[in-house]
Amino acid sequence: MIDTNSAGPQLMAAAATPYMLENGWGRIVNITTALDAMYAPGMGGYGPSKAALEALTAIMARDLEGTGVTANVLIPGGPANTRMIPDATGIPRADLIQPDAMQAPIVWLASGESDGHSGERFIAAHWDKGLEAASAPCAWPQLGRQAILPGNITR
Amino acid sequence: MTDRVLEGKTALITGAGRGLGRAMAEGLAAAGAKIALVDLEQDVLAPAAASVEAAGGQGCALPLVADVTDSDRAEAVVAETIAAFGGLDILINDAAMGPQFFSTDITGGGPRFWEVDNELWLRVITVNAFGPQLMASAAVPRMIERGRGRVINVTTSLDTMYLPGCGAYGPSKAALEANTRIMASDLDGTGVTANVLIPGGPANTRMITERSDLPRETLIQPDAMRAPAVWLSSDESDGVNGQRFIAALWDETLPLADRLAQAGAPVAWSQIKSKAIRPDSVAALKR
Repeated sequence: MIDTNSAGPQLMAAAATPYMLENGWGRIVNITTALDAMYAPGMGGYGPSKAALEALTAIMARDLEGTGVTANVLIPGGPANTRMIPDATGIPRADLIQPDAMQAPIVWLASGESDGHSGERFIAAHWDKGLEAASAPCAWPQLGRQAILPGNITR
Repeated sequence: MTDRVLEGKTALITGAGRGLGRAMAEGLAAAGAKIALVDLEQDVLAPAAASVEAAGGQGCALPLVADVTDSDRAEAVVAETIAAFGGLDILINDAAMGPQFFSTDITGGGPRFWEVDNELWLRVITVNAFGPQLMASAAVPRMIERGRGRVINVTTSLDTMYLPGCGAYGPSKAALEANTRIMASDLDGTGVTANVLIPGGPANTRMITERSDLPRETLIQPDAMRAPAVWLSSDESDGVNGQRFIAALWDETLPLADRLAQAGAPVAWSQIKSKAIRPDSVAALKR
């Protein structure tokens, strides 16, 4: 699970980014999951693998600062009508977020209109409520500075 | 530490040969616990086992060579620990590959993500995130059977999880942090608990490479882990589950409630309100 969901995106991005850097423009969009789904029980390595990808996306955005290439997260914003939610769960398919909800935000993210947006997470299900309602910083920087650093170290 | 509050208990500590793992091994041994020390190399285990016996008494240390990503060895070290000491009460997942495998710059000046060795990236996340999962799966059934036990995972500061220049280190610890919360939920009501213990910043271990402008005494010393690790391992922490504790903020002079308020928080990032939308039919499935 961690191989596919975390190391896979790292491998793909490491392969693709040098070309984007040459062009001075590019997009990496990582699909993670809701922050609280990352620690939902019963799904094995799924949540932890997405937590790793979320953190990695924040790192990518920092690494890409000033290059014209951006890295963001896009998520449906809840369980989606895909094979990840099997019929056996008994959830009516209509209650789920439909995959098409991803279309408008991914087009915007892939376009020049999103230039300068990096290190953010976008929630497809809230897309029609405007950027502010549909976005948040990537990972969990709202929790503020955490590490206790020696006085002469800044990062 | 003169109180032998861990008398009769057995701990298995991965990464016990050096650094934080060794400090916790010595601390728990001094508090009366028997210690299985797991590490990759006999060369680091032998002196660590000697210092653990110096702290806890002859025969209290069992050095075991194992790679925590090897499922057969994970099962074997648990079995060997139980065979030697008659039980297993505490698992401390400390073994990890640190940022030093990618960079010697702790301020984020290491390689960018497209410059890292991807094989190394995968190895680090496998050791740091999958290793603890393997070890915990091997150790927990025995604890549940007995109706008590401890899993203590060493992650990192929440903002170090997305610090650039450290390759997979941060993401691997984010995965382990999330997994600790899952473990805590899964263990709810069993008498076994899962918590996170971190130093709280760069510690004086091999993870932080020598630098002339970084005196070692300004780093958090590994011994800071001892007291909170002992408390978390003891019966005093019964019922404390799904929390993260910062060793550097652990102040034994404070009354327990104040100490916990100062050094503790819920594991992961649950303080951030989720924006997820979940239909009622989905919420009903939540455990």
